[in-house]
Amino acid sequence: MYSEVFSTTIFGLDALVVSVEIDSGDGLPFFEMSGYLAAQVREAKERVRVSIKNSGYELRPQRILVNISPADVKKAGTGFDLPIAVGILAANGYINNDKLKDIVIVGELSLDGSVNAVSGVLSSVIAAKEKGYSICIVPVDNLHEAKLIRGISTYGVKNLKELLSFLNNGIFPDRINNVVGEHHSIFAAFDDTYLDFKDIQGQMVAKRATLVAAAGMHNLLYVGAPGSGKTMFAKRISGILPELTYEEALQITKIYSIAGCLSKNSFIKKRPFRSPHHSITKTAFLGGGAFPKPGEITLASSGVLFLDELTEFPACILESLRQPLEDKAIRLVRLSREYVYPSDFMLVAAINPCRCGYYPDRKRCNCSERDIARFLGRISQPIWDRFDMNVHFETIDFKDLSEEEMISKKNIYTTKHMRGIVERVHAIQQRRFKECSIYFNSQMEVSDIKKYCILGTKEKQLLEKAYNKLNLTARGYNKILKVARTIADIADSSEIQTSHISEAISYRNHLGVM
Amino acid sequence: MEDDFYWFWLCNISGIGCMKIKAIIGSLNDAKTAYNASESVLCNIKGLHHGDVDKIIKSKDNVHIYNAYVKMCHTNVQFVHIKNDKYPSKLKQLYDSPPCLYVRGKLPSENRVSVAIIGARNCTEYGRSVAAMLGEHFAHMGIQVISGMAAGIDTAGHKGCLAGDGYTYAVLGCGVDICYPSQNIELFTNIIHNGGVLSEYPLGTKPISANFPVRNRIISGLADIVVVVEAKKKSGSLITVDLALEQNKEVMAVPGRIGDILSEGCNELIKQGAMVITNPEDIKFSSFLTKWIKNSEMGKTDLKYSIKNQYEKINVLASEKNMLYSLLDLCPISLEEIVRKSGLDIQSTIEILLELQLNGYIKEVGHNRYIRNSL
Repeated sequence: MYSEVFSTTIFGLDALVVSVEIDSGDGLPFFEMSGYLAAQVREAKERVRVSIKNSGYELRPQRILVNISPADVKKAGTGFDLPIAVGILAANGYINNDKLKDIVIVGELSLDGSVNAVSGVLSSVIAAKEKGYSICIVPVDNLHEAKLIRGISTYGVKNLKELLSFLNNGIFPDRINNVVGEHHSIFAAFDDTYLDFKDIQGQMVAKRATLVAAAGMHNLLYVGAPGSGKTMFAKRISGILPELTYEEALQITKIYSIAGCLSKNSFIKKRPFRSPHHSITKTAFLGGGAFPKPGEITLASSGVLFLDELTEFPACILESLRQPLEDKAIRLVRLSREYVYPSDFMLVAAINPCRCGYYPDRKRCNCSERDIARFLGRISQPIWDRFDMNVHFETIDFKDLSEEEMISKKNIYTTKHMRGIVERVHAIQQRRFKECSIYFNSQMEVSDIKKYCILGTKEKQLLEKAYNKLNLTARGYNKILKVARTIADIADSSEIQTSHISEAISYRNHLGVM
Repeated sequence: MEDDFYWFWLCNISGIGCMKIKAIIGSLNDAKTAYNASESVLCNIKGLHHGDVDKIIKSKDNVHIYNAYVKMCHTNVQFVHIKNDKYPSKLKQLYDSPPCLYVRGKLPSENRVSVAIIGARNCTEYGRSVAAMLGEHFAHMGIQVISGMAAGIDTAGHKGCLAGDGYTYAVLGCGVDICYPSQNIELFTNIIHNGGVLSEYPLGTKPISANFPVRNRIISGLADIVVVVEAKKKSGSLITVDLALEQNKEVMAVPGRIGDILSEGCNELIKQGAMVITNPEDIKFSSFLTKWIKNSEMGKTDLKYSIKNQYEKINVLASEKNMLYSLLDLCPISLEEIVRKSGLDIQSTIEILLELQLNGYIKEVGHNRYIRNSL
């Protein structure tokens, strides 16, 4: 007997619907699988056989041939267990073949017949919907994820027996989640609280700089002594970026689902904050493997990538950041195919000003000029150039820590207030770059700068004077203009004024011993 | 020329240092006589052992010394031995005066006042800016600045003097063909053009740590007054001060706050009776300069500095600028602190600070840290 079941395989960030064909016939007992399968898929053979047996179905000795087509796409993952089992049972007459025509099934089997969660369910459901299937069966642990997609019925199954009773009789255990729910109500239920900037006292300059950076999506470098709050700041940045739309959140969840970073029944509604340790490998950072999995830069997409102790990162990892930062996507080329993953994040990094971390406080720091130059020299010039803005953290006095008035006074630097400003400035930029391929001030090229950063005579004079007196470079000059544009946007000013330029100049790179 | 070679030979015999050379010259008066002297004559010199005499005799056949001499003649390095007319008379008065000097550029002028600016290598921004400020004003006054071209205070002193178009002299602890520390290469070449680099060590001598305290006696020896800008309680700068006091030179110290590790040495010196210098003008009240000004014929002094009222130009600043300016001093203050103290908002503070900076009133040292440009 022959049967056909539909399933999916993950292909980059998307899934592809594949058909699992099973033929069983008489002859010496035999089980063979074909269709360009990875090792995990081949291992399904024994799992499927035992779980069918343990679910209480009897199979007579027979020749079973499984083929997953199209045969020129490499299939990986454990989601094929369930469709294969269903196919074998259908070929043995336990299920009516006609019932399987409109269903896509994914799921991994345990030896006792229960169904385990798999990764990439979101992409699978999207693919099933796009191909016009009306039902998608997923492991019960992935049901929340699957429910995010509208326009297709999704069911979560616990074990093989449950699935068979559904396929044969249309009966499904009354499980709340199996009812097609209001998607937005599910969306709203997820946690979207961020850490708040109002928890931080003092550091007004750093707060202002952070606001400017987030408003124009400028890459930001924090410099400061250990314990001055750099990491605290970085963790709060994703909170002041605009709220995610449903589509954006779905895209992020999809990436996390494929990377296997999604915990049970969760949904990414917050902007990601990724802070990889500096011992990370290049593959984990950029994404990779024979079937490339998304790396940290892709997981940070739409959010913040924070590199703490930037000087400790190996040079090769930092250098590899240059192209993804420029293109906002990473291309992972494999022999079979090219995979393009998004890498559209805001880069925030933190460094100490010297090895001990306390320069220029000579009471605590005894680093020589050479030590400092060597310490900062670990980061190459091209990487320095990626940071539009630098901000120096002050060591906090006890007075600051104990000062209560900071909070009671009308503190404008709360996450809510800052997010309001950032959202407004993002909207201004969207209008400005409507006809361009860029979205933010930080992405402006020289030609865009000429077009959008028009200066009056007074402003030109100031910049000229600063250029000569402060030894700026041509690149530094352009960075100042880009940041000044953002500052002007925050002030709701269509022209860039001298005060905006002055502020932008104060964020330039000015490190080391002068 | 020929004479020079004999001196070069005498100064390059391994194991024969400046005291032994002094003994030889004391009894034989000249390097050439020493070269031609027989073993018995050398043996009679007080202060020389048999081994030393052996070394001297053997070194006559040493090709390396001759080769080094020829090589040096092809460079622009001057060789000035103690009997040379150019040899600084101040150094002759030292107990252990260097028998010879290797010089690139010029030697300090005898007719001008020389001040040594010394201090710690790992200094603070405050020390750096004070040293630079002193150097610059001394240059305006026509004073030559002597230092050791080490990182930190020394470098700042040299740079300040060069910024004021003055002459500055660096005494190295290595050969004058080596720039140490290497990042000072620009300064090194500038000093050669606007003053000179000198050393008692032959060309090619590596900057080993033992050389540096020894060369300090030349720094203090060449100077009339030694100014200590920043020094820890135990530091090389204080060695120089001891040497200066032994050489009967005046010592002045820049005071610092109590508790600043890098000012402890200076404050200690003041406690012991060193003169305080808080303004470049203070140098005039040193007993050396009062004497010097009196001695030099009226109006014909090289001390051409006229008192400029630094506060005059500040008064014309608008009130907010004036307020921010008055918050600053020579210790770097961070933007954060300025904002907090002034009560202005960040944007206008930054704007005013940039304006003050571009007009030369203040300076940004390090990221978002500001100091006054002068007192």
